[in-house]
Amino acid sequence: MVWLVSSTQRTGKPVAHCLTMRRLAPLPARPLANESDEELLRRMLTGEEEAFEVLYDRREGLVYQFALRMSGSAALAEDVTQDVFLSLIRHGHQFDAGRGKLAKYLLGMTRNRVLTLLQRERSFVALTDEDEDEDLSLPASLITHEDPLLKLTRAEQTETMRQAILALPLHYREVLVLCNLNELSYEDAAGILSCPVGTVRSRLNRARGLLLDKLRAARQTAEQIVA
Amino acid sequence: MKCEDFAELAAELADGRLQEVAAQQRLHAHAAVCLPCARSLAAQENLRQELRTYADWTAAETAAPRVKQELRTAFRAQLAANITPGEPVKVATVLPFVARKQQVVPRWLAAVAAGLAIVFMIGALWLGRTPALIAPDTAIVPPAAPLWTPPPPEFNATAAAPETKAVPVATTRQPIRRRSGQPNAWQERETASDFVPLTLAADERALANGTLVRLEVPRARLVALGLPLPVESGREMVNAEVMVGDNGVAYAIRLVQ
Ligand SMILES: [Zn+2]
Repeated sequence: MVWLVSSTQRTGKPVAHCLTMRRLAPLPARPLANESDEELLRRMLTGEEEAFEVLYDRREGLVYQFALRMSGSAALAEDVTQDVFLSLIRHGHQFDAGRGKLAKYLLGMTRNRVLTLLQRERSFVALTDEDEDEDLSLPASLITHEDPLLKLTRAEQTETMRQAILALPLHYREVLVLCNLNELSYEDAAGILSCPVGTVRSRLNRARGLLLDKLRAARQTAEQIVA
Repeated sequence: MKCEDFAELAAELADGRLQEVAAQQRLHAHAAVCLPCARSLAAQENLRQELRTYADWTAAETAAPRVKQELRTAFRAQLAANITPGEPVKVATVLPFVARKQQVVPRWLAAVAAGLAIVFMIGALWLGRTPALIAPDTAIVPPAAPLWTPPPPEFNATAAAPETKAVPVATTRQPIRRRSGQPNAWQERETASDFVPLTLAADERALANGTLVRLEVPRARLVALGLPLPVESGREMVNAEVMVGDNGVAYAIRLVQ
């Protein structure tokens, strides 16, 4: 069915005039905070902006923090956050709840995006090269000159840990972030990393050993500087 | 148990992820008699605590508010471009919409259209029906006011919008024929709400040759967009018109009743 009509005939005023009208008052809030991620996504995809808002507020930290912990760059983490949620807005219907939770899906997208950007920035350590972890030299950024008594403030402790994690080879770093910072099960981490559970277990074990070495070295170096 | 075996499972034990009770007992028994392994386990438990503390202390780190703002803009643009992903929307009408200037129609096309109109009107009169063509200029509305309020400078709509797809109907600027039997007085009976913007930026050039698309959409969709409708009967289909620029971007929507 096709109709033709002049907008002025119907409304009594030109279309362009209507365009300058202000946005209408928001509707009363609906209780979305208790909905599951998956339900929020479903409602978001049917056009509910509030569902998008709630879902973003709930899961933005997961995405942003994973990207930040993996890259050490707030700018990159923000880019990744934007890319991941943009992808959810545009291609969220591709999410299959039968294959796992939305949070896991988001982490998978985040991980892929982080790796892509890190590769692009050439600060990438080959994921499959298991020999990369032999380099245990301490990055200069791990050495702190600011606290001679080694009683690190919270910010300094955070920064020491952040730098030690960033000094890990990428394939160890990601498994440590997923399992020890995001508290994922080995199975979920294996799903995100597309590798066997046994690989997650062995990489995490190795990552923990390397991290201990790096933290120990950082503190010893700091002690030597003080002495 | 060998120290190598202990080292393989120490982190898992410290994390509380070692499910098998017998394995836990074997590890603790070994640590009780092996000082290096006992120290290793203590170091792993200490690291576990440090990592938890680090996770807690950095749990409040968030992206800048502009990220959400830009995503919200993209969400609205996506919504406008594809009103109901996963839900059917009936496209009832495609209306040519010319905002700033009269629509430019090639002379040859106008001549063809005029010829077709004459032929059709003669045919319609011969069949005793109402003439069904409406002159193209009845659909052209010259503007009286500026097209759009400029968006706030912090918004970068172009960053979010380039991939925005056109409303899934072919925009047509050819003369559109009304189906015979359509009531003539319906236009006067209809009222339309004000347009609600779907994007934060408008391209005047795109709008100048844009199209007004009539859709049948669920009432709830319009409510979600901010149109003033009662919420109760969300599944009911209502008429709406979307203003689509010739770049395929939908800029505004309104209710027609
Ligand atoms: Zn031992």
